[in-house]
Amino acid sequence: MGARIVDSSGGLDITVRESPEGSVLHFNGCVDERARFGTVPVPGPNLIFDLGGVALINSLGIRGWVNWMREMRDKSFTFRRCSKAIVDQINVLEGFLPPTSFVESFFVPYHCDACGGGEQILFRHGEEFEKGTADRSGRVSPPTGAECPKCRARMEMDVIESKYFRFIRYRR
Amino acid sequence: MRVKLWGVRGSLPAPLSPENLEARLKDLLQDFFARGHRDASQIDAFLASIPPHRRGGFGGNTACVQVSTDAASLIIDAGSGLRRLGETMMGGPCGLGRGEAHILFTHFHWDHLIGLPFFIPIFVPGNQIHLYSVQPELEAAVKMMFTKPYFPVPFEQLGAKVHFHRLEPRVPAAFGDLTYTPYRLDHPDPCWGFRFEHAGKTFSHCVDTEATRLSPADLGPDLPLYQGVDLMIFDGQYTLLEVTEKINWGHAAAPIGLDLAIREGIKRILFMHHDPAASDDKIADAERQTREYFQAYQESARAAGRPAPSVEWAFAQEGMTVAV
Ligand SMILES: [Zn+2]
Ligand SMILES: [Zn+2]
Ligand SMILES: [Zn+2]
Repeated sequence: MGARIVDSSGGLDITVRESPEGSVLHFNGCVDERARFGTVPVPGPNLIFDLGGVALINSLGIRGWVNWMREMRDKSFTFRRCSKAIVDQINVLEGFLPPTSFVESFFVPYHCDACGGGEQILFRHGEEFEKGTADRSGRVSPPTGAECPKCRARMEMDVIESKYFRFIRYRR
Repeated sequence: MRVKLWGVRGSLPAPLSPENLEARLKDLLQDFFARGHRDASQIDAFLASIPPHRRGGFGGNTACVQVSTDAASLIIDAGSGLRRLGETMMGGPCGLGRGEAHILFTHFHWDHLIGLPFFIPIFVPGNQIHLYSVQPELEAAVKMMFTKPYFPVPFEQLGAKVHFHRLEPRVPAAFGDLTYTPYRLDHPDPCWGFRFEHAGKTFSHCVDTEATRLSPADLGPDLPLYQGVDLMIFDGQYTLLEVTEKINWGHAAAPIGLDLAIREGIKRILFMHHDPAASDDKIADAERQTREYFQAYQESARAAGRPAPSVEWAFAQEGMTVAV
């Protein structure tokens, strides 16, 4: 299936791929004041955002992002492979994600004390986490024994869990 | 340069209500005894350990900022904070009818004007009051304030001599050993920020603004307002989420100022124009949210292999003085 770069103004590349589940938008780079969301075509009612490549997001980008999401309030959103930069903002800014959205997976940074290396481990809904609902609080089940890809030592989670998983525990 | 904040509230003065004040006193007393203190000698140390928003708070007077050097003093805006500044000035030449005051206006929304009829030096014969703005409406706006039935003393009967001065947009003006240049801000009615320079240091006053133009290209001729600045005062009326809802309300949020600072290398920021509807607790919460935002941004920058930006910042409190 064809991919097409629809915005490469400044620090952000957005590529759109059509797939049976909907339009998949891949974000790569920095979401800041240079991002022109208005020019991104958003066909169909189901949008899948792959955010694994977002290295940095600032408030100037967030303002544009939130307004863009608001304009598309009739669509359903899936957020896939959210990077740490994205997860941090989801946690800081209630309202960053539209109410009709679903976080399918996100990355958690792990650190290896033995060799100083580390890795981003993907937490998937239904596997490593379950989002809280109105009548049930969320859960996180980190993979047991995450191994360092370099030295095979056991890695530790490199985030403050109470802060990083706040959006999961949160009941809505 | 010294920058003193006489009023940091936005839109409308917001005095602490008697109920709120009483609740705060009760809360502090309970805390004092809960910590096992029993003696009056422990009060100062106890209060010093309490965050400002649980003590005096951020302040309820509207916009008024004073910039001074040893040789010059300029006032920015005549919000309700101007009243106390005027009282202080009465202790000097203004009290003897031999003083002068110089007030720059950013724009003429009420919160930036309402202190003028209560600025005592303007009633004292012999004083010279100089008022400045880029906008042509200055004289009409001021005269309207001193018009019955809005105010009992008509403009013509003011004791002091009032002079009106028109400023050129983006053209530096000299005042004593200070230089200042007006740049356009983003507000529903024309509003001008000021860049002050003295002895190699720069202070930029950027209130009121929604900061809708952000990229260097969009800012165009107004970009210098943010370049090479040692201290910036920025509009932090809302939280980031509120800003996304209040489009065209003309105000910004602290994280937006921080991002401008990171990009342009601004060293220090004070956020003011606090929402009059926000309690001290809510402002403190916006400050906490801003801290989390900034920490997350610094971590992402580090992870992306960029230098983690360092900007010193705080939410402004009435009465603060900052040396630049
Ligand atoms: Zn290792
Ligand atoms: Zn204002
Ligand atoms: Zn205004």
